[in-house]
Amino acid sequence: MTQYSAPPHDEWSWESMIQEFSALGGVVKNIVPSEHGLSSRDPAEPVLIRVPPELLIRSEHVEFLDDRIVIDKSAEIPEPVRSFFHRYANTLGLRTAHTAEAIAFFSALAALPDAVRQVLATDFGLSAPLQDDTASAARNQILNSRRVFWRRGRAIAPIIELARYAPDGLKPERGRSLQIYGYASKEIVVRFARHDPLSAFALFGRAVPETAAFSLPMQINVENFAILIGRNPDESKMRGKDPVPAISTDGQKITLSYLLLGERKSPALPRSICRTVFTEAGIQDPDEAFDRIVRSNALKFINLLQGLEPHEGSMTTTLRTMARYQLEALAYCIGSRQLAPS
Amino acid sequence: MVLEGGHVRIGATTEQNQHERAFFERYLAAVAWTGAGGASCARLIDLFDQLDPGLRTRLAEEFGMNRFIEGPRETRILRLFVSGRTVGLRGESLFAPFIDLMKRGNRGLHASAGPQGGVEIRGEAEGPLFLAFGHHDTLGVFRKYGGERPRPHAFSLATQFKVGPLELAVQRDPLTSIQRSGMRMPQLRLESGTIHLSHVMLGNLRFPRTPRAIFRALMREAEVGHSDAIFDRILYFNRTRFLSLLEALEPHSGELVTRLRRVALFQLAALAECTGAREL
Repeated sequence: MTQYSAPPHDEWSWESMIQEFSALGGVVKNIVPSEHGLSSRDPAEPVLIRVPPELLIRSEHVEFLDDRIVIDKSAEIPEPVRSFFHRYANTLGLRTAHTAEAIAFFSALAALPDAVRQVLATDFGLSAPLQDDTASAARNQILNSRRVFWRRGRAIAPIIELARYAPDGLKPERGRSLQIYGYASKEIVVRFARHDPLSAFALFGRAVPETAAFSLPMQINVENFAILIGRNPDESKMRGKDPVPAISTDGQKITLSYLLLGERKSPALPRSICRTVFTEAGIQDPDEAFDRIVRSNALKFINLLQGLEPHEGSMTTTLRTMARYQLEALAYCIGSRQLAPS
Repeated sequence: MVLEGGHVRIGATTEQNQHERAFFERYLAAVAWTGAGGASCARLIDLFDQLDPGLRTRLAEEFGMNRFIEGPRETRILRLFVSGRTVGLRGESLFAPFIDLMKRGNRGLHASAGPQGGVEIRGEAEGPLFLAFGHHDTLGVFRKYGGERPRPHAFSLATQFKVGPLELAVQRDPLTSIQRSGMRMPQLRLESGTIHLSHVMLGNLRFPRTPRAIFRALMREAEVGHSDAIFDRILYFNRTRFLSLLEALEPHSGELVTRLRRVALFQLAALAECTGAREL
């Protein structure tokens, strides 16, 4: 790694920026910038980035203004932090290679055949922006993809957000501060949040072999209930060691923040969660409800693959791979087990 | 039937008399073989021969497509021709003139035993006549007829694994079944610590609660617990096999690759048709 292959940050050297970050309470150890994000300086030593709560900027306070990333004026953020973030965000990371990647992603989506775009928009909520809006869509994607879950919300963690996403990356550790810590043989990759192949594709523009598959947003009528399924895996609560979706009931309407349908690391978990929460909500045959949701999801991805069949090109290949990964993750649903009581 | 010098003839060992033999040979030469039948079989076999060797091995070993791949070219062409044009009756594969010309379709007529031991089709139809695919799923249709069609149901690939102290051997022979309560069920045999199932249906568009229900009943009979988890394992094995075929096909292109992809997608769609379980 040399200064020449690092992302452009000539307005503010890496060392000066880290110095200011450290002055505000942040800690960076054994890290250097690299072409795609961050790397370890010495792979034999652990890497550490610690971001104190004051430097974690709530994503609802971050916006684009005249092509610059700014913190909302109404946000109660101390001036030194605000000043650091403005300089950081508009010099580094959020405005470099990621922007080009995001624009390329949306341009490729927009260039897909109409029928495929229609399916992506209707079944998967992946609308390609109009040509004039590509830059704006790219900016939103950049902000959304770098967020980490922090105290019942989402925040942007400076420096950490420069790393590339990978499902087997370092997990953000949450305590008084938010940090990543561990060994990285070369590039440092971070698992910013729980994703399935579809959400990873939407945020990072790549086909990623995630271990989990979450349901698409849907409403399904089961027995006398209307079940509404969202797609927010961050909104969960723990049952023993298992995360389960946040659930609310309103008469005959059951709303789930998300629903896990397949999980390579724990194939008995998806049906177990569904069986438990649906039974508690009063559904008599939760297994059939679960199977119907899995079926609906699987058929949509199979339909996408069928729709892509006559087409070629790198985005088509990426979409095919993503759909295959999602179907693979969906297949990891074997048996069931008891969950801890609520 | 034998293929000699590019023409199909009746083999020397058949029971047909001279007159029947003469009719068959003329019929085959004039209509069945010549009328695109032989050419389309040869074309498919040639497409298999042009396929990447690694893919060919995989298709033979994992999806039972040996018949397209192994053996002399003429034998494979004849095998496909005969297989696609015969009807199964009383445990035999029979070549029935004129019936063999009918295309297969999802809503086709069924061939049945006719008077004096013959074969007949009977029914009402508008437009072109189709012959039913029988019990075959998408993979079965491809293997038997060389065509890719969406089918409403899916059977498991052959597989074997441990279930508690026993082995479970799943075969892929949907034609071997027993009737129970008016329903076709796989044949179950328990032999030297192995449970043999002639087939396992994993998805059924028309009766989505049936596949798991049948499997539960069979496992109850064999006194094996955790039948749902075992069923899920078989389902998982099949889904990942077809997904891995799609992955293997991804870097390749061409007519046969496209057709094989369609087979995999149709089969995956039928595998998805399994929701809940009803009481049998």
